[in-house]
Amino acid sequence: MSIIHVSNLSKSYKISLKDPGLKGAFKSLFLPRTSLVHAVKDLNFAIEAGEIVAYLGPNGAGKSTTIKLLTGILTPSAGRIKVLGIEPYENRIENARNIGVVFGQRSQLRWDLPVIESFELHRRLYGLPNPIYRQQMELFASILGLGDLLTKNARSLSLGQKMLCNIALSLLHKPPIVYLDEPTIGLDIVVKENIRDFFVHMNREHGVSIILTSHDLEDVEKLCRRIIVIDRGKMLFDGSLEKLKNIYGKTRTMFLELAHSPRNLSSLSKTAVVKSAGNKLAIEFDGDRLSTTRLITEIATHNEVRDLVIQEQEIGTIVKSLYRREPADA
Amino acid sequence: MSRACTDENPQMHDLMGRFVGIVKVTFQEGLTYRVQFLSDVSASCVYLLSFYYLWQAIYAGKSAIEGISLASMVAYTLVSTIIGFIVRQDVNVIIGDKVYEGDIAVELTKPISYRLVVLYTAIGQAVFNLLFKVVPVFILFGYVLDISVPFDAVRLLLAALSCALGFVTYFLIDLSLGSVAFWIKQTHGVNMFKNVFMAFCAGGLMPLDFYPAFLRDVLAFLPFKGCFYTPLSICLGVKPQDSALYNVLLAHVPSYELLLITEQLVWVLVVLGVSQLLWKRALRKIVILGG
Repeated sequence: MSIIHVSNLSKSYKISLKDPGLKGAFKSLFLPRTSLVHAVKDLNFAIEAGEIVAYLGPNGAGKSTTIKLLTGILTPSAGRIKVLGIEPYENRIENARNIGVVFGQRSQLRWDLPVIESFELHRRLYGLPNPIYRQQMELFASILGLGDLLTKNARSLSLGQKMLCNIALSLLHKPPIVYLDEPTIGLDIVVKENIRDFFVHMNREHGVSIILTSHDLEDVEKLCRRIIVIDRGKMLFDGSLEKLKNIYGKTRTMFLELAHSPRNLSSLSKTAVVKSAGNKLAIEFDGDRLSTTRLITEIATHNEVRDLVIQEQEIGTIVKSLYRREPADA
Repeated sequence: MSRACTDENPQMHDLMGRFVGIVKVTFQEGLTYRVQFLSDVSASCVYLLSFYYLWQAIYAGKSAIEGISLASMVAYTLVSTIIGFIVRQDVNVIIGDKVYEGDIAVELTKPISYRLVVLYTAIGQAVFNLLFKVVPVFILFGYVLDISVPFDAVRLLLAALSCALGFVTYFLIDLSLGSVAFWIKQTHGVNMFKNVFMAFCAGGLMPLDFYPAFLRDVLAFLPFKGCFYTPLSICLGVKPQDSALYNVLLAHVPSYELLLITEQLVWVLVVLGVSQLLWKRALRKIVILGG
């Protein structure tokens, strides 16, 4: 069952342009110039209950704008959104009860108060019954290790601790959907692992659907089965991780160590990129155009191979090459 | 009692829960800033003292100015400080900072109107000030300097009602200014202007009766005086200036206090309309950095 429906979604807004320097500042004060930015253009996708979807794109691609449209903070310029049957921008408050949101660069903790007070306030704002509140707090204490943090002042927490608290807050009222906008930004590996495990648990055990934007592709590989890539507001790819690798990630690299310096490899240079240093070789080739068997045979005919490793392309490289592509109809 | 609410009317319970939650947090935050709290109280004391001596110097040898005696004048300053503690807010700065920092996005993911959050916060601050600032200032000046304020129960009740309406008027004006923050993305300058403007136009500084006639007439037809001057004059028993309109209206209302309160109510409705319009437009305008 689809829980999120996005059809022909576009969002554009005006930004003011300023010439550099004091003169420019004066000019824009009296003669403001604006330009229209198309943050999101004609997006279409649907998300099923229980999915974890990575929403990827370079900086300024329109990821956060999409999240803000989905949460009802922004109103679409065109198109429609339905989240659990509700149009978020028409019924922001009703929609807010169904979702949890984490903006990695913002905190919703009360800065000057012990962390527990932010949880108490959240409980009251969402009208959460006490038994459920206690049950959720126990869950967070056991999985996220939140217990000791609750009595500390929010301002004294480290970045990672603050993020753990914000993530727990976003799930306190048991929302079926959470939006995570760069939840692991600036965090160390241990905290990242902790957070990923937590989301996997919430997804598997509690059926929480997750939409995640991140620049950390390890987040994506560990958490997400499905990937949506956008750039300049347009969709570039929507599908499984395997599909992404199949379409864009066929380039493999073979690393070889020979018993001597390489001989008679010029025939390969038509179909592969060959780099060598001493008796070591790195050959980049397209799995569709050149089979691994043929490659090995060609090399082994003239050379004595001591060691051989084949490496698939990393997801990071694939996504990077996707970002560099022009959108199909730009 | 809260149990009964849960069983019979969950929505009512929700509403109360949110109100209590935000007021509680505001109280706790108020108590966290001890230095700010103390400097606030002592600044008001110094301010009151300097006005106390200023008026004494101005009144030297005169029994009354514009029909106001020295004793009433000093009482005016005391009561205006007290009402100021309750009515004055910085709602537009609360909103403006959220817009400027981009944190308004987080606020808008909560299942509650952000305007209600701000209103509850302002109420929390007013109650906090009432308990922790008004009481000490009142004791200090009413008792030590022997300033007498004429009181009776009915007058106090009407003054409290008028003060509450003044609070609401101030809130709605401030909220409108806060909406403007969505366009200009900066409010501290606006707030400084607002503070001076309100002190002058609403009668926070001195009675409006001291102003030239034309200014008095203009201010009489603006909502600002409802924030300070109206509750002040009800509290001190100062009748409004003679005017043809007032005299006609007074014939239909049992007392001038009720007339003033009705006038405040009308202004509340007008300002409510304006703030509603501005807020709706502001939300459409919203652009949050970090697209």
